[in-house]
Parts: sequence; C-alpha cells; structure tokens
Amino acid sequence: MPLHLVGTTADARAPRIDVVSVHEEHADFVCLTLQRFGVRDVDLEDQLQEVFVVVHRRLHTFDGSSRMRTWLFGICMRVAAGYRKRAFRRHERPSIDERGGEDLFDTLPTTETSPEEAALAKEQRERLLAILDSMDLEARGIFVMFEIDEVPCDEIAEMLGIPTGTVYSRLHAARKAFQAAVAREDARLRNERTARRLRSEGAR
Amino acid sequence: MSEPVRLRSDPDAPSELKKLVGGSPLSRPMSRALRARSSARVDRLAVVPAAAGVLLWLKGVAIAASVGLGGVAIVLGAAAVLRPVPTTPSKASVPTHVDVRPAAPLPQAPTVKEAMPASSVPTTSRVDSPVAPARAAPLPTGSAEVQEDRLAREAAMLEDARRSLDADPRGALATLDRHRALFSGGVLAPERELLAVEALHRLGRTDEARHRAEELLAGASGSLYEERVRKILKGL
Repeated sequence: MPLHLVGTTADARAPRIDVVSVHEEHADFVCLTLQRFGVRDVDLEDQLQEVFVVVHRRLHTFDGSSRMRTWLFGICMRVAAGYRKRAFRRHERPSIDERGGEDLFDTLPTTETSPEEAALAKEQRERLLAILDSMDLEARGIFVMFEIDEVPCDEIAEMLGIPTGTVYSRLHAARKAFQAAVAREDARLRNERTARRLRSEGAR
Repeated sequence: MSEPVRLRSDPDAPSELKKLVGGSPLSRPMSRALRARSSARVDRLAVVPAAAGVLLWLKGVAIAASVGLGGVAIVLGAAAVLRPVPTTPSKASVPTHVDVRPAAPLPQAPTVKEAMPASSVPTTSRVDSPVAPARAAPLPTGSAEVQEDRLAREAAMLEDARRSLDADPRGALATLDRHRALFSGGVLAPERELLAVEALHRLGRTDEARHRAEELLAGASGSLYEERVRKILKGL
C-alpha cells in the first residue's frame, strides 16, 4: 500500500501525494538534475533510485512550504554530493564512454559530422566534466543549468526557491569558480605534459 | 533586471571558455525505457516498507509470544517443583512396622554425585524454605526452549511420583526410576533422590532408603536439601 501523505499539513484540501505520484510528475526533472550535478550515465539509474528512496523516506517532512521541485533539487544535490564523495574515495574519474545502457535517453547527441570532429568533441566534453567535477556542487549546478543547458534564470530561481536576483549573483560567483577551475585544470595538464616529457628524456 | 548574457554568446568571453561550454547540453531527458524501469522500482519501493512493517510486527509478536510462553512455562514448572514435599512422613502415612520382605529387584540407583551435577547443587543454606528447583544448569546441547521443555518434563514426572507417594509408593518409586533413566544428570535429580528415599522408607526398605539418603547428604552438603535429608535419616 503506497504511503499517502498530505502535501500541506496546514491545508486539508491539499492533494494527497506519495512517492509514486512524485515520481510520475518529477522523474524527468530529477534525472536532468542528477546529470547536471555530475552523475555519469553509468550510475544514473542507481542514483535516480536513491533519490526516490530518500523521497519515500522523507516525504512526511515535506510540508508544502516550498515547491516540490525545490525540495527535490535539495535531495538531488545531497545524493550527488554522496555520489561524488564515494567516487573520490574510489579515485574514480568516469569517462563519458561509460554508459549504463544506450536506452537511458531517447536521443543521443550526434551533432558531429566526422570521426575527427567526434573525437575532438569527446575530448572537449571530458575536459569540461573534469573542470566541473572540481567545482563546488551548488556552483556547478547553477553554472550547468544556465550556461550549458540554457535554462532561463527565472526557471532556475523557481527550482531553487530563491529570488531571480540571487540567481544572478550566484551565477556570477559560479562563473568565477568555473574560470578558476579551468585555470587549475590547465595547470594540471601542463604539469602532466612536463612530467611526461621529463620521463621520456630521462629514458633516453 | 535583464537576464545575463551566456558565455557562448558573449563577444567578450575568452574563446577557450566559449568552446568548452558551447557543446551539446550535459543533461538529456530520460528515455521511456528508463522511466518505465524507474517507475517499476518506485512502485515496489512504495509497497515494500508496508510489507516490511507487517513482517517486523509479526516478528515482534512472535518474539514476545515465545518469551511470554517461555516465562509461563518456567513459572508453571517452578510452581510444580516448589510444592513443598513433606519432610517427615505423617503418622497416618508412615507404616508403624517395617516390612522386611524383599521387594522386587530395582535397578541400581545412581550415586548422588552422578545424579546431581555440581552446578545444579543449590548453595543456599536456607532450610525452612520449600524445595526450590536447582538452578537450571546449561545443557551442552539444545536451545533455551529445549532446556525449558526438559525441565518441565522432569518436573511433571516428579510431581506424578509425589502425588502417588502416599497411595502407591511402589508406583512412585517406579516413576522415579524412570526419571533416573531419562534424566540421569537432570536438574531435579536431588529432588528425585529425596522422593526415592521417602518411597523406599514407606516401602519398608529402610537400609536402601538410608543408603540413598546418605549418598544424597554427601552430595547435598550445605544445600537446602541437607536439613531435610537429615530429618529423614533421623526417622529411619
């Protein structure tokens, strides 16, 4: 028997919600949000399930004072933070080639016209993911939503349950964080190249 | 307040950054297949806790019931055993003469040391309290339920013997012999020996009764049986 809870404790007329109805309405949003927080395709299904386990367990604490999406966004962020921590402990840096199955999405990005373009695009994407992985999770979420997935600021504000002006300021900070992360990633790549060159010179 | 310009559209943004963020979106909508799988999991999720709750409730009830029944069995067993045994035969029940005719041969009674494991010998020195069952010594095999069951059967058999002691001491002795055969190292072995002494005395087999009483006394020294056995020995 599904757990039925009143969405707003103060309002008896509020629609009764349960984890099934939350999934029905918001599964797409949760799936997109987890990807924005850096959950790789190969782990997406598991993390999706984890979010709904939390939803089921904590639904009685949702009092309707915020939007359901805002509440879910917070859960996604915590689940993604745990996922990121576990991946860090395992020293994992998943490649975008690791997919949990080609049936995760109805359409796959196939904008590249030649194998060279596809290889370059893949390299760029991996670099981008590495940079984003080094960012603070909240900054990453806002940055990805606005800059890459092109979600309008008012929609982000609604999702996060914050004023649009706050989104602007957080976006500004996220951009700075992104630029700093790019600089760090560039420095790391330069160091790696130098180390490789020195090793090869030493071998000769 | 107007929406900020995205990096990819910003003419002042470094080309490297534009290139990085200019690719396809990082997130894609879930497929119908993924949604169906996820939906099935969530359906199960919504059901499982309720079922688990019922199972846990049943488990709790089962544990409570077994603990309760175990407690009742112990109390009943103890009550049966705690019924006081007449320490000295009443004048009405004790024959005034001793029948010296040999009775039917009986199997050799075990020594008190055999019959009474050290761990089961009570150490209290109270003498006027009713006979309490010796503390249940942990058996080498079997669970607590098995032990309780064994103790209950021991107690029931001794109670049968006690009931028939006045009217049929020979039958009582036969029951006590069966008890010895079944529970040679039983928890209630001292109690059995006490009843056996009584039965033998009533049957007029005074020497046998004294012999078993002395063996019991040797093993029951310092226990709550000691005084009772001494009283019996005095009357023999």
